[in-house]
Amino acid sequence: MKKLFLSIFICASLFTSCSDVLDKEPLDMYQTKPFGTMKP
Amino acid sequence: MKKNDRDRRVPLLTKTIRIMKVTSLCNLLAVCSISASTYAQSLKFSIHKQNSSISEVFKEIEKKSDFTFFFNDNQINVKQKVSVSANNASIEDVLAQVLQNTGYNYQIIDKQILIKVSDKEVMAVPAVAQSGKKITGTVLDATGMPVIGANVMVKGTTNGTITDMDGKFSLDVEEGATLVVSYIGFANQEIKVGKQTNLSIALKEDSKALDELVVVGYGTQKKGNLTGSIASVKTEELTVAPVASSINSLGGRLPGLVSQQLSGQPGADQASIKIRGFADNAIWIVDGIEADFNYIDPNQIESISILKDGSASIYGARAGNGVILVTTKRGTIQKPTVTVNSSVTFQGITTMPKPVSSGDYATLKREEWLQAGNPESTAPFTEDQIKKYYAGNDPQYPNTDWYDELIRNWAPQQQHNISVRGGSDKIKYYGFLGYMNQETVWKQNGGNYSRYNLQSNIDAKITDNLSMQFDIALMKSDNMTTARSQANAGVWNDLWNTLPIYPAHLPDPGKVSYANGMGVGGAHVTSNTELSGYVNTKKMNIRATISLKYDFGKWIKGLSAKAFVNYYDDVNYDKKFNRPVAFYRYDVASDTYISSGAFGTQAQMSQRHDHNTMLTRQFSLNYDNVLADDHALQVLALYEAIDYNGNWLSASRDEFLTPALEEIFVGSTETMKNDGASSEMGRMSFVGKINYTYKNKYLLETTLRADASAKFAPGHRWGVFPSASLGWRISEESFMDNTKSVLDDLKLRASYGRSGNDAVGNFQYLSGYKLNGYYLLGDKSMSGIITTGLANPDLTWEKFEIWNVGMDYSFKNRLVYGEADAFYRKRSGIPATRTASTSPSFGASFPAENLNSMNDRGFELSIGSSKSYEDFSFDVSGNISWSRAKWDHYEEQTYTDPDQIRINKVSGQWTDRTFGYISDGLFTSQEEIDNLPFDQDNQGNASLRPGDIRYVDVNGDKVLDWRDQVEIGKGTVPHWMYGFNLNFKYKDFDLSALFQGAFGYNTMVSLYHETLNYPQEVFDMRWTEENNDANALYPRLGGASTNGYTSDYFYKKAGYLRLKSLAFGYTLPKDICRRLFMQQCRIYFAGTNLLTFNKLGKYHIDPEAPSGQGGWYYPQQRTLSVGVNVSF
Repeated sequence: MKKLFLSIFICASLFTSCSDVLDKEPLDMYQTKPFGTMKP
Repeated sequence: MKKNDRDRRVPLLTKTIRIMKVTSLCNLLAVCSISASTYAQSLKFSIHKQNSSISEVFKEIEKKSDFTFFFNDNQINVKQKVSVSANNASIEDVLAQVLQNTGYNYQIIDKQILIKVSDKEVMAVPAVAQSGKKITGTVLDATGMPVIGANVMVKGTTNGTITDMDGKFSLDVEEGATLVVSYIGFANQEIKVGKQTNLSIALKEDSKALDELVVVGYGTQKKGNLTGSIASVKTEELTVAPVASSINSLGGRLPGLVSQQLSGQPGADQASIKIRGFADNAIWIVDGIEADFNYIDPNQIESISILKDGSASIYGARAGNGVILVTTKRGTIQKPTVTVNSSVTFQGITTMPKPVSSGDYATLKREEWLQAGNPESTAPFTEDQIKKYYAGNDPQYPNTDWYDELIRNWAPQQQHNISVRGGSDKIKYYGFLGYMNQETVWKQNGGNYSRYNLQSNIDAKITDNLSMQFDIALMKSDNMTTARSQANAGVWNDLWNTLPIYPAHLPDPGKVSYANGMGVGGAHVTSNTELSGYVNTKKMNIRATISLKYDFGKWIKGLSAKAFVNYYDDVNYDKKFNRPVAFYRYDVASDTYISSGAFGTQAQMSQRHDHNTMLTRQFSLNYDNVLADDHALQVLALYEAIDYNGNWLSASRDEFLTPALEEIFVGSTETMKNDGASSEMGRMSFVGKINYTYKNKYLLETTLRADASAKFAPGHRWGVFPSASLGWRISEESFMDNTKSVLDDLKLRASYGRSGNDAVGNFQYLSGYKLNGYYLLGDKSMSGIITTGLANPDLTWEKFEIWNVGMDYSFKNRLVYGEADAFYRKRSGIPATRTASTSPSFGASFPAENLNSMNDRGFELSIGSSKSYEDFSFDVSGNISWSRAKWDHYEEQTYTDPDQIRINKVSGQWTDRTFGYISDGLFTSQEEIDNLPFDQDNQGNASLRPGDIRYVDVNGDKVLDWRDQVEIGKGTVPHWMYGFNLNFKYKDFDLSALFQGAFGYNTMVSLYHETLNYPQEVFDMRWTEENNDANALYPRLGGASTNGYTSDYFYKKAGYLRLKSLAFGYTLPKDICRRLFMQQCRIYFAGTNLLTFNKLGKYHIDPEAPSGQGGWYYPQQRTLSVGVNVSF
């Protein structure tokens, strides 16, 4: 049972590392934001 | 030997599991008396079953314990009704009740229970003539390993036995009886007992049987239960002849695969593989993750599956062009087996045009000059000079065969690998180390390609419920090639600019001979890496996987959970070094060297370092069980997240102080440049799959994948890709019972699936500025920024829908077998730029939108035959496929002119139509030109002379113009592909041949690429006044400009059949192997591209050559190999 909980803990840790998988943006351009602001 | 009903319940009949059974039985048979393990002694349980089948009782016991039952279904009738009632009883007590009055007894070892016919019952069988003789024998597998637990039965009787832990058996039989030897995963073998008393029986794997497991998306499936159009190939076929690239083993082997090997360059000779002729490449999934397959050694691969229809939809937004699944080898339960493969290969060019001699060259130059209407006084060569070139005895008039000087007939290649495979029920392992080295055909320092592959796959059972997989695969390659490209604008172009009128060597060996080369001196300069420089590409990638699987079977039978993490790291390092080379001409009369230019003036170097990583995480729940005997259910729920990161850095310097030091610091700081960038991307997916089989005859599979890609705008990221497929195994129906002796399998399939293609550019929903270009501010050059253009927040992936119907059939134990498939695919949302015009003051172009659409259709057929006899077996098969695509909508201008609509309008037309003029041979007299009823050259035919191409005024308007163009061909990618796979085995000899062919396509026969020199084929087959042939291969040299029109004169129908691979092997007899401490030893001779029937053979263009590039690229190779494969 200990190993089951350990496995669940490992999986949960990995799962949380996936949370920002879609939080990506181009790194080679300055993005034009509304009203002309720029963000590197 | 059968495990209790399990083979119908879950697809576990992998070799691994078979060998697990072997080990279990080995243990069982090692125990002579009934014995109970510690587990058996300690276990107490209750069971109450009245008038139930033995099968049901066994299942109940399996549910309540960890015991597993084994029995021979030919001997044990598990439908027999029994009753048992026990409270808190031991397994022995329960089994005693169950098996009383059945005539069966049992053996227990550890957690396995073997059910067998009691001795008393066997003795009671009346059919056995015990008066016959006693025979003994050994049953072995293909590798010489003993097969433990194989059934050995006398045909037509119940007299039989099973083999012991050494694969041996002993049986009393009548003379003339026929023994039937069977074991799961192997083909049944019948042996007629003659006078011999000791038999050695080698079972052959029944690798194509219906219960063979095929790798499918996120799992495996029995071949007999597949509902999709999936082709698969095993390692034995991939490694029949040594090839550097695994991809080149696939062409012709599988239906529905359009394969064209467009180059023979070491490190870049992989064939272009297109599933069903789809315009774009399929994705390759290696051991569960997207990876570059080309760098994997063929010997590492266990199997390759090709998902061609809706079965690919489970890979969602990347699956539109099909999916190719590659599975590497893993450990199996067996004693450690070390296998060594070693081969030496010689590679030479299949065919290519060759340059002319100096005499021919001078003749052609003079002829071209004069025929172009130029004065003889300024002709490049005089008649006298030409004679001297032909005579070849005046050192001022040399004749150099540059093809022979620069290209060798046979370039060596070697491949060596060692692997170890084995394991127990606790841990299984597979290790591989491979080395490959392939040299180029260039004679002098032309470079070479070498590769190392290292792999370790480990499966460990940590506890009864928890298992772990730990894999690591490493690839390291080193490709040294010329600084000039090996493609058409590089060294091969230089070869055609290297003139035979110059010597290859000068008296002073320290000086390089000038041979023109259009500024580079000649191909002897650019094909030599030590002379003019090189590109050295070093690549290394690592795939590392760790996964944990927890089996909840104790609580819910068939339920398991899995966490899978893979890290993929790819590093590519390019170093390009250009070294200056000065070249000279030598004047024999004055014994002086004349400087004739140089290739570069100072050394320069550029370097680039690319690093890309991918982190994949998968979490899944699996349910796999058989409910109420008839309902087999597999359910998968999976979450996947993938992160991508990449960066690159480049640097360069010119004006090296000395070319002797090949490091960047030697270059001038004044000229140094550097650059670099990073990128990131991510994907998130939810995957669901349900697989349901009722009574093994009605099959259903549904999948659903939701994919999100960070490259698209929020709100447009998620896409849902469903698929459904049905199968009906008609042969399993009761109304087909009377056909069972003939029909093994007949299955109808139908599928529908949606998928996507997200390779449409990253982050195009964003607008902004990029650093780019240089601006002059005052007298200073400053880097500046440019706009990235208009953004399209609505851009998303291309969408695909595919329908497929198919049929699988097998008669008389695969004496005839095959499959047939037909498909239709719609592809929409292909990115294109809107053609509507904008105001010039708008200042920007439209962004890409999902505008275009097309559809594909095609079919595939295959038929084969296999049979095994005592000493001889064969398996021959053939396949053929056709496919073609049509545009539904193509964003284009609106055409109103009928000829423009006919020629230029793309929407609604086949995608590969090629338009050009219709030719009518060559003019053979001025009279023909004078009588031509239309104006061909827009000059009243004034530029035309005999020997020029005569065209057809198709519309009869008395003028040859664009309106006379008609469809002259169907593109350069074959519509029809076919192959024949022949395998024969006689005693210890084996022969395999693979023929591959294609037709239904065109190629541009272009032998002369406006280079300085000509190919021999042009010289031999050109039009001349003496050879006034209207059908000469090449029109008048120096002819009219109209000869260059795209026409059917050069755009020819192509087609070929080639012996893609041939292998002949001899396996040493077992007793010799044993004496040499080997399990198996096979020596083989193999070759690829040994024989070609080519429609365009007379032009000496390889049939797989890129269209229009005959002799102008690194040509395909013919190989001859000798190798040995030894197992210890």
